[in-house]
Amino acid sequence: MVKSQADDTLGEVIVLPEGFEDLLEFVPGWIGETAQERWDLRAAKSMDEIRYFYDRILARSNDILAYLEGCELSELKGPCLRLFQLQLALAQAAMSVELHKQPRAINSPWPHQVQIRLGPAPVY
Amino acid sequence: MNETLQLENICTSNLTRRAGLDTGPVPAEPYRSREYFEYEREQIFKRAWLALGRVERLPEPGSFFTTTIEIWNAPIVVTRDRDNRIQAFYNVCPHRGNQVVLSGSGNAFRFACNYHNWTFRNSGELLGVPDQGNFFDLDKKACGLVPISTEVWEGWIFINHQKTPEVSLETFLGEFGKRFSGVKWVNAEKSILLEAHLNANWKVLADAFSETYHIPSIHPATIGTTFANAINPHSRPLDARFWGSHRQFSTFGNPAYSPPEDAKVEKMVYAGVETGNVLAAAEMQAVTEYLAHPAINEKRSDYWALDIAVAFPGLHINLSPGGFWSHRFWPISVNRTRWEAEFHVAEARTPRERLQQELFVARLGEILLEDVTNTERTQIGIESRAYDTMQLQDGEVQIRHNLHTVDKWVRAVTVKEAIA
Repeated sequence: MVKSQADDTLGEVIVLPEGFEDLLEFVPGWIGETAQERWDLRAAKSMDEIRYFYDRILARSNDILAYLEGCELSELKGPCLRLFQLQLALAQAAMSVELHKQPRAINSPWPHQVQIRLGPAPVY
Repeated sequence: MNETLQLENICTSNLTRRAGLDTGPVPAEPYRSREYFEYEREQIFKRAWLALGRVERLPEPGSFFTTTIEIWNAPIVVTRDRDNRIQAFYNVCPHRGNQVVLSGSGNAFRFACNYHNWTFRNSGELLGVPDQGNFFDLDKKACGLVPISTEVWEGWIFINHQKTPEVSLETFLGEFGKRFSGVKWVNAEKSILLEAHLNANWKVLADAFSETYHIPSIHPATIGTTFANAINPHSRPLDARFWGSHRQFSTFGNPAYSPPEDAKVEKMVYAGVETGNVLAAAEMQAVTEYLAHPAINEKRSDYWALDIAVAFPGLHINLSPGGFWSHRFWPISVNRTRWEAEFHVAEARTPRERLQQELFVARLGEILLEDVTNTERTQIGIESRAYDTMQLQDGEVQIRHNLHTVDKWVRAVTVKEAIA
């Protein structure tokens, strides 16, 4: 396990990798373990919250992707996994900001029945 | 050339009359009548071959999955045995009727019923009965898992309720089966699966994925501009073809589509990637091979979006430029349906690819949510009995063909008569 993936060092919990402390405010509110959880999290938020997250993560996306480049995708853990889960949540935020211009799809109920039973691999 | 003339050169017109179908209003009763639903159960779903999904769900000997065929009131288990034979069984213990396999999927060559530990081979034979001596002349050979008629076509697993089906799967699929044989099913090994239980008749669900007339209206933000343009503002189909119970529907695509200016995430995710070139070389070759199949975009039209290949009653295979996906519709009652949508993409190799897939799934979720929640409102309207009919236009010919086919099966004395 590489050092940046260690969950804690000297008993101190590292939430996100070094250099991404500015995104700590989105943990755990935007951390979903699956594509379905990220969908649910976004759908329950206000447009102001979604837009704020969208702007901040979009601005850091190239840094995040560059940082994670070369990691074994199926073995992401701890701080790296959380960082990537924030990055993946941007896909959900983009639905509200870029498509619907509102938190959820027009004329759709909430909660609803559509479930992502199996997301893209690796699943997280 | 004016736009109407241009459209005529792109989209085949008069699809309904060409198919030999009436053009009048269609009845609403088959969508709401409990009596009609019982006919559908007996005459269609207990006689037709029903598609369960792809063989890749059972990747190796020992693989199994369980599901419920609600319209049969039957829990089933599907296995791949040591000889690579794929077989469905009733997931029912011969002892007292409990379900033998409780997990959704896995790998096992033996199953043990957790009620009294009767054990079975994954090829169905009863192996062990605890305290067998205390039974009365137990015939173990007659107490295996009950097999369900199972056949595979082009990697699609089909089952039939009839112990000895009146027609083979090959005969059932007929010309349709021949037409789509040899398709290269790209990325079939990896699945993305969406599911919903909806308060709507199975045909309302199937209808929602049978026409593109609704797209500019229901999906203005998600895909409205990908299936329509100035030449074809109402997304008329390119073509529709019919072979007995089965059919193919080719939809129109806007070749000039590009992400809107404010789609910053889409642009960032695909940065440095030429459109259509997000695939690795090996996958690119597979997709090229897949697209070369003569039945896919048969017209070789620049305006092709995708083909919908429908194996009646419950399987829609969607063949699009990047690969295929399927919808499966499982009736539960006259106004309740389980719907499955299964997509296939290769496993991501980089964080950017994984993010592309997350964006793909997020968008799918939105589109499908728009489609399927619309079906519950439709069912309410139909059941109100405000109208006894529905008005269908030429681009909705699949719906008319489906109703025609359903009625033919309901009335047919034999399956041969139904598929003729």
